[in-house]
Amino acid sequence: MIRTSALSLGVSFLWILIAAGTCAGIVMIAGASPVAVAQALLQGAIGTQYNISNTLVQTIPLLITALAVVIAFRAEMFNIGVEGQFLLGAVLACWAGQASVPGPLAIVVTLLASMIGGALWSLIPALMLHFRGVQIVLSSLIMNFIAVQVVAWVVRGPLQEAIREYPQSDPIRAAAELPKVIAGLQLHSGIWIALAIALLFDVLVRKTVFGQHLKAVGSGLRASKTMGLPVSRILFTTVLLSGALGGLAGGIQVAGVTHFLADPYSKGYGYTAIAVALLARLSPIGAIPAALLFGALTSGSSAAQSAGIPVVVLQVIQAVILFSILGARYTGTLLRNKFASGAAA
Amino acid sequence: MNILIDIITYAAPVGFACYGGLLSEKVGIVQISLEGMMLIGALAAVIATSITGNPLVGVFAAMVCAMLAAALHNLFTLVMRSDHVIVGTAVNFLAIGITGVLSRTLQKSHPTILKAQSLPLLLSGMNILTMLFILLIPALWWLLYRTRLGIGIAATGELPKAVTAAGYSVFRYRFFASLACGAFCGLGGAALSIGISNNFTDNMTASRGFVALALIVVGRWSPLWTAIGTLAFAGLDVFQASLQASGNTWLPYPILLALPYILTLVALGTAKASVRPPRYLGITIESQS
Amino acid sequence: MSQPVLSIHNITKTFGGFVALSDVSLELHSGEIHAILGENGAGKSTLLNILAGITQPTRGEIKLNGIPVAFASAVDAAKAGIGMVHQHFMLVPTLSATENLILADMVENRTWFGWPAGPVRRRIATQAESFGWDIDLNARIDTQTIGAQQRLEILKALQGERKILLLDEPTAVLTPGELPGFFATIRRIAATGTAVVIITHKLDEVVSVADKVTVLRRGQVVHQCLTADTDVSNLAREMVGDASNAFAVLTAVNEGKNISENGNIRVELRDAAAVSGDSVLCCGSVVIQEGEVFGIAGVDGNGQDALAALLTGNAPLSQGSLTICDVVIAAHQKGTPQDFLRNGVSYIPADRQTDGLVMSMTIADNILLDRVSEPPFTKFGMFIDTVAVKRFAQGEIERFDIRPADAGCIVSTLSGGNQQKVVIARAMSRKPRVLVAVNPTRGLDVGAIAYVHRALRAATAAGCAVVLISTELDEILALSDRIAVLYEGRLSETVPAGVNKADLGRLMGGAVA
Repeated sequence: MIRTSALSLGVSFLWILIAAGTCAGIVMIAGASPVAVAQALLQGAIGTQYNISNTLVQTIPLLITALAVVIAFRAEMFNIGVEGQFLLGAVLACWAGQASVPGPLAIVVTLLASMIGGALWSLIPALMLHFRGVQIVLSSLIMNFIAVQVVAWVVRGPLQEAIREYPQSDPIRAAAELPKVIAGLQLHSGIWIALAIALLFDVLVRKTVFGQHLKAVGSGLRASKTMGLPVSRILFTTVLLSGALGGLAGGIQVAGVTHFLADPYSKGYGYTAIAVALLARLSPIGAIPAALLFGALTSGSSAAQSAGIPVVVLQVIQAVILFSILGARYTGTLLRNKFASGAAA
Repeated sequence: MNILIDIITYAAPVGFACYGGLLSEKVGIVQISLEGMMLIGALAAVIATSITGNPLVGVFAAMVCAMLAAALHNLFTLVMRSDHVIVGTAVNFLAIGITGVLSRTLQKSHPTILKAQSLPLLLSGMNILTMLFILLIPALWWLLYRTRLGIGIAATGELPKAVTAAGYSVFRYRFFASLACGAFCGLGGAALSIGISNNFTDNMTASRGFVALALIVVGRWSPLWTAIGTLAFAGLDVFQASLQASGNTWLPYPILLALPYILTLVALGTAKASVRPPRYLGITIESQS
Repeated sequence: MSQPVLSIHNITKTFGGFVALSDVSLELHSGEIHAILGENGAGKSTLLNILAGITQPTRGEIKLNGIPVAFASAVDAAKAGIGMVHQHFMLVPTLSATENLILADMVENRTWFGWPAGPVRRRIATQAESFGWDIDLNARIDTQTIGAQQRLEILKALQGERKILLLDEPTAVLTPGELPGFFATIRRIAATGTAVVIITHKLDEVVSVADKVTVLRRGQVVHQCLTADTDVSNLAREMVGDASNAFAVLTAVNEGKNISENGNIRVELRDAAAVSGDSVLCCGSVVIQEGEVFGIAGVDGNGQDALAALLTGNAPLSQGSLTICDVVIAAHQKGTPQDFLRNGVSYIPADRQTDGLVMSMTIADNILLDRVSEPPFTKFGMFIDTVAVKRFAQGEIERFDIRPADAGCIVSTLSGGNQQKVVIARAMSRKPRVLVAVNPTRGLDVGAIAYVHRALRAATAAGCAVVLISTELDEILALSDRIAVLYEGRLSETVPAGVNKADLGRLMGGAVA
């Protein structure tokens, strides 16, 4: 047993090396120095107090969207529409944040509105799956593209700023903003919400009836259906919950960071969330360090420009990380099988 | 007639991606990476054309590079048995990243390399790729429904053990269909960059690869119907562009842009429920021999 | 003594650590009909796959006409003159017969872009005619009956110079009435000089058609003889190795309880119709009472899935009426498996691994799959009371003797018999008033079969009505108090247990009693 875990640890380390090597190679082809880029990334992620705060700020939407993906993927619902749900959440948050609601309620109303927005956006794919058998992968994907246009329309139309100069909205009321954790830094209290949800989901998944149903439906859909589980209800709830979370991430982004809506709005959190969720092996608690890693990478990559490499190198790093995870899983399974049959013989 | 040519030209990139995607899905491989492979093809086409001055070399380079991406996809899905959706997403990330990095660095060092001459126009204003898009409709039909290869392809996606029992290799069918998908996506990317735009811009595929995925389902994995769906989608796109050009203020611009997507969604939702995807789509087969 | 056309020597096949075949040798002469007998798991299919070139032996030698050969693939074996008809047809459902034949064709040159539709059609048509068969070559496979599909498979296997024909459980899809015709076909094929190998677990068929028989038990040859020199009880004993157990289970005939006319009715169908996937029930009327085992016989593909789905809430009633456990269900009413479960209907589905169990979850998870949301297994309505769950699961494990006796064991590691025990444990734990069991002993060894039969009988003692839907006629006869037959979606009238096999066979072939 000890031998196998040591070996699998070694293999994981090997994959980390392969990943790092590949990234370094691509950086060199692009004409920059891998060492300089690595240093810039590190500096940009945790070099200064401001950078650390920025890393955490980037982590927040990543964590929440990753949790949305985790919940859905656990039920084999490949909701890649979290991006669109994020945007709709931002739209509704912006709208609700401008309404005149008494002080303390303002934040609650804003965030609630964002969850409703996200859930509504995932409702259409859920309905299409239930009534027409259309796969969530396809329908949620297309909803993403429509969502981008919804934002574009809204900031040029109904929600456009009063002076009608730029395609952006008026800011939300101060009462609807999420307070900063430390004055002067960007880090806002959305981080507490994100962490709380991660912990809540961990309990949900491991200890509740719903979590058990999720496991059953995700690993054995036909058996669950035949043996009397309310499969439609479970899947529906899961997709809507996932959408609501995606929307919440958008709402928190509006309430905590930007305070207004512009076109384009998202930095692709919904797509990155997929990589984060997979790195976390679909575990809610695991999503915290995974989101942190990607948050650090995002924050660091904006500094990478100074080292001579475009910011979009982030996508390459993300891809390499994903491939390495898949590779490590495969070699891990190979090793485990080899040891299992070896032990039997 | 001009409008028809325009529509076909604009439809060609998505159309090629559709052809590739449906070939791949027919043998059971989900191809989320259509978008990424198109992007790679687009960049490769422009760079190769600039360097050699010959657009045909560009087309060839596009196919080769996209096929490399498909090979990577194969490595992780067929050999390492990872989930198709995840691998496809990773390939897309990689494609966006690499093409982005390359194009930005090239922009600084050799800016002219990103502007290339376009494919020469041949018959009635269509370039060779546009013509190929149309010619492939009967060609693919013949391949899929009137050759041994086509039967093997269909069987691989519906009942792989029948393929094995007949003495063929499921792995080979999947492997080469996936590579062919890459080649088609490369053609699609080339049709976009040196067929329409004459340059490469960031993310120029603009999610066409994903639209192709939906169109394959709407078109029921048949070359003819997917081509028709693609033409309809392109038609809507052209319609929307011309409305915008003529200074329309009736429908807000974003709604116009969203229209093709909304209609695709509607088409997906109203497709006959009895149309089944290939039974083994996305399923990892244990003994592939 | 003429040279055997095929001989295998000391064939051994291992999969990882598991030994499927050990030191198997046999000889086959041209024109001979050779049966390979064995219970489920004995290694028959593996042996056939090796002969057909689909897998390669780990050790041992195959000789064709005295010359050693090695088949790297099915194509090699086919080119050497060996044809195989699989138990589960290798016909692609969405393609036509012609297209399937082109795929499998090994006679014409196998070019990528070839389309030998014409030659293939001509060859098949001629051969079909010689058997007196009428085959539609252009229709899609999924529109054809199972019998037609089997005929197609046989024709496919006979293409080219076939010296050896391998048949894997060929009679599974035939009614007793169709057997004589099938055996005549086999004899005709053998008469032309082709050697025929039949895999089966049906003792009486072996005796009626085969010249020689080889008995496999746990991957080894335990007996080889001429069928003329042996009988059913001898073969049964060799097959299982334990005289009393085997014979009793394999050849039992139920005397049948006297089912009075006044018993409580648990299930009543009146002109009911339902559809589940490809399976269609078009017209069924039957009355089933508490405390009886009601057997529904029939060849696979005549509506069994639809009937089972209807009775368990997995398919809606499209016409007629169904009264189950005192609940009346009208046509088009939306009932769910949940509702049926709560009303006391439990289900042992045909395919335990896809419909009955979540393979990656534990025994405890599976036993309580649908009950974990109910008290006493929940705390505060939302959380799972893991202690209560474990306690209950352990109890069921002991009661049903599930091995290994660990509630946290993942179900995919269990043997087929133990997996079925988990399904049965779950079904029985709700103290059902109706138990629908479909092919409950498929793929199980004799010990497990005996266990399942005992469990079903015990259920009736508690007043439960057992609806046994099975394609194994022997099983129906061994357990049922009353029997009805499904043929092309129609339920025949009910007959008592003492009915003889021939009459039942006629009903299975569509005769009206």
